[in-house]
Amino acid sequence: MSAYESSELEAIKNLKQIAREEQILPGTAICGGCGGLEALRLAAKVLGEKTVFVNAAGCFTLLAVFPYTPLKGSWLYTNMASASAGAQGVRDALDVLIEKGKLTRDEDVNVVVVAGDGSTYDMGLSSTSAAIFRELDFWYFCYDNESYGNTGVQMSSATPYGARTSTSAVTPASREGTEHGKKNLFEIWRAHRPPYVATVSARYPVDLTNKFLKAKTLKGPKLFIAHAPCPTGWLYDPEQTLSYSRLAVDTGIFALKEAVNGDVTHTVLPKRHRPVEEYLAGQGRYRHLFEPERNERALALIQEQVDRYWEAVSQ
Amino acid sequence: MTRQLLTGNAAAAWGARLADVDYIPAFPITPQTEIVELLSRWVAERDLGGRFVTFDSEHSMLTAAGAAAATGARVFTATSSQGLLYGFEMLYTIAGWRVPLVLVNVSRGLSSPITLEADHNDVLAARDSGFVQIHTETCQEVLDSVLMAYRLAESDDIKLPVIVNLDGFTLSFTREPVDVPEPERVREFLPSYEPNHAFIRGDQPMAQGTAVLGGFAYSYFRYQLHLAQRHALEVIELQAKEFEGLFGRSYGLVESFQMDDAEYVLVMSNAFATKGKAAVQRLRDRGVKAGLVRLRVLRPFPSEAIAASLAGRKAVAVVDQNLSPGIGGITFQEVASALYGANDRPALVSVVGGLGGKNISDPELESIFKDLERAASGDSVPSPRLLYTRAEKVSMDKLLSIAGKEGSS
Amino acid sequence: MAAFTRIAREAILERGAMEHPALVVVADETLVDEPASAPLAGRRDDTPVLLNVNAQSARQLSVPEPVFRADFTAMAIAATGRLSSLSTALAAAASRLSGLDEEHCRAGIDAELAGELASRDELESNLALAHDVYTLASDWTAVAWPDDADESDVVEADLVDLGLEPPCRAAPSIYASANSPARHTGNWRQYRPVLEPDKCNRCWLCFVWCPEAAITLDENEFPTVDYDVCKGCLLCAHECPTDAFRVERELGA
Repeated sequence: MSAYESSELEAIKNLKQIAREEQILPGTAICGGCGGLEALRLAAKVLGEKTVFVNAAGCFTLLAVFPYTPLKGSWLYTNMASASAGAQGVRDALDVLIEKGKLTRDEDVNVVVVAGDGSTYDMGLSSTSAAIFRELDFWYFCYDNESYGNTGVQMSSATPYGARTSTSAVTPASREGTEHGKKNLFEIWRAHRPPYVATVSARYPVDLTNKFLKAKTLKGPKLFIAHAPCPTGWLYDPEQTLSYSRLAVDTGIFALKEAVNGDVTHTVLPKRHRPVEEYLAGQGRYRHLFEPERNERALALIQEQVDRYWEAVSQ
Repeated sequence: MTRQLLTGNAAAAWGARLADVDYIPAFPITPQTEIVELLSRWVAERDLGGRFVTFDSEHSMLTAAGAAAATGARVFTATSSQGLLYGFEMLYTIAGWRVPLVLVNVSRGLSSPITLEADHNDVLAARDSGFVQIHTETCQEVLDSVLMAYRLAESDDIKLPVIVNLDGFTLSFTREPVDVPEPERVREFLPSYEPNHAFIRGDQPMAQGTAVLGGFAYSYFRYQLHLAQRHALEVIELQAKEFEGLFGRSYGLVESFQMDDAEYVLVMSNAFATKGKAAVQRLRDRGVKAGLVRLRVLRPFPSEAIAASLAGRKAVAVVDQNLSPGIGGITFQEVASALYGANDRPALVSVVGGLGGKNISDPELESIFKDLERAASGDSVPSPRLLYTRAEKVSMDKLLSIAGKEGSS
Repeated sequence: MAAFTRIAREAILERGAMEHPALVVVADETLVDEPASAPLAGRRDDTPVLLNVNAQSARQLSVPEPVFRADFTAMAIAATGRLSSLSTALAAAASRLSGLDEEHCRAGIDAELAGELASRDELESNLALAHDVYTLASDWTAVAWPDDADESDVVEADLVDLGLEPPCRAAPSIYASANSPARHTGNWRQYRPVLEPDKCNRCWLCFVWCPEAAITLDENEFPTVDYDVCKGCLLCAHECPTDAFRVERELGA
């Protein structure tokens, strides 16, 4: 019924196969060096022009601010809690209008939720769970910058253990800032058994592109978590966004993987993981773990969590 | 046309069926559930060509409803009470998008304490949302209002969502004879929806619901919402004439009952207005010049029509089946404001009753007319008068005593 | 977006937009012509403007006198190494123009920054910056504070009757497609990436990774930066494997 392509799409081999045409143009109010926008821009190149982005309240609300839109495709800003239900309304309406002959198949679009981690991990989870349960044919792009970024970097349930945010301050009583570890969204989604769940990083554009290409061949929920380094919230210079993208993968704290009908494959496997400290050290949000003295306990705990994850993978 | 015995809920569902809606996002809540049960069956049996989807909440349901309307589908949905409040954010949002859809609200008192039967605090909480509000009195009016709501919502200069309200239990679960018009006749009145201002399609991209920065841009869009609402006053009356021509039933912004020479007037809305009409009849039989004005369209608020109906009467009681704690009846405030500029203002009395479906009994209606006589002769009456009988007080004291509460009088 | 600090001996009556400022401080000269920010709105003929300019800039904005110009950004970077110290520099300059003693200005900076900065050293370098600014501004004449807001010249507003417009106009939707490049975000840039084509190996990385899509490839696959929209994040320069981007402090913005 929908805009998915039934034929197998050829995976690309190198980044010069990435589309030169842009789908998201410049001029938005998104922060310079935004890792989330970098990933969305690459994803949009695969999705193409016949796409509607159904936005949940978050940083990317600022993509379309009247009277400007950066999109060649369409946009619908819904709310914070139920963009997935908005996607369902759009998808269902398109299907019915096509069935009734009020719309031609050529006019069909990809329906793509765009949401930050605040909406995705917290308020919007029920709505998304319901959409996956109903096997809605849609895309979900979560730009995970690990905080409520647009409101000034407050803690979300995607904020990692040990990170400082504006609502998880570092004090003598709370030396780690954020005390809980982030939710495992990938597994929460995967437990619903959608056809496709993947993590992506703009630092690995070929991997990102191929994942979106593969998802194009699948009908049903296609869910993406994009690692979204955030200079504003993670407190580093914007030029270093890709350094942290790379270090996240190289240290193993962010795993690039996909689950096709529930079966997990890791798509980028560094031969040996670098110490996770290398990822943490330069980010202002972790500065308190290193200065004025090292918080060995917290650093060891973070490393341990990463190690345990990869041990489980190798078994 | 067929004549059927339909509940208010079934009449609402028939309205949606005759409107040939494309999409029905749903979520169960008492006393609305029968509407979506019927529609889901009709969709399953292909009596209705659209799609029916059950959501995880009213918030999601309303989001999907608005999004589908923004895509270009004709959308019907329904809820009640807590459900309306759970989806509240989306009422403002959808109205702001300027997309047409019809939402049937089956009125039910709000928590807390949680209860089941009707009052209008739920629907009146939504009165500032930008939705048009049509409040109905009979099962026939429910069906007719759903059809008129679509015609209005989709009109070129309007493009607003509409709430059609009916009372839980007293109408939702009450079967009455209802004329169900032929689909062909309905299509004469309500052609199919052609979205020309808001749509989602591949060959004509557009951005909807965008953020605005700056009060002057925000104000422009909000003022336009208001101006469209005010314009709807005119459009509703024109379309009601057309409806009457086709189906023989006449509906106005307000309904005047025995108002020609009326001196003592009740202002009521929804199903209990019929009880008010019965009281008016009784008083007329006794030679009292009583009358009733029924508020039918609550948004836009027909201030001029109300002022014209009520000016020059001796006394008017506005009976609110709702309570805004700290001020009193909600529609009383609005009727009073409509009368402020009128010459020859009547004495005005505020009455609150029927909360949580509590009966407004014939003796209570008699008391209201007594209050009106007192007010007309310059005596003071409690305002708002909170209707509560001695028998009810005795029963309540018993409950309090069983609940282990001392100190009841 | 707007935020205010107001302090007065009398009751504060003005809220929101300032109608008649005694001094306007513009932290980014490129905002002067921005209709969305319009920092000079409400300025009278004699209202002084404190303008942060780029000393190396080829273009001089024409702002009617009285204007006090300085490259506070350069001063801030020189003193503390941090762009965020621009606030300190401008606060000091505004204090000087307001006739505030340096001592009071120092106390204010101390109070404002104490909770924000990681070390005493950073605070000291901010105080040193304030001193530099006071020295620079020693010959500036202080702002003349009006005794009372003169509002006798306020005239009736020119109100319009909006009238009902069709829903296609009256909804906050956008029919235009991809029109955001018209909103020039190039004035966000403090540093400019400049390609040295000799060093470029045409690897596409800067094009692929520019979050803004501000880099396009020409027919020979050389990158071109659109300076109208480039926000100056410098990802391109940082990631370039052949260091083909030179970084210059912004000149013509």
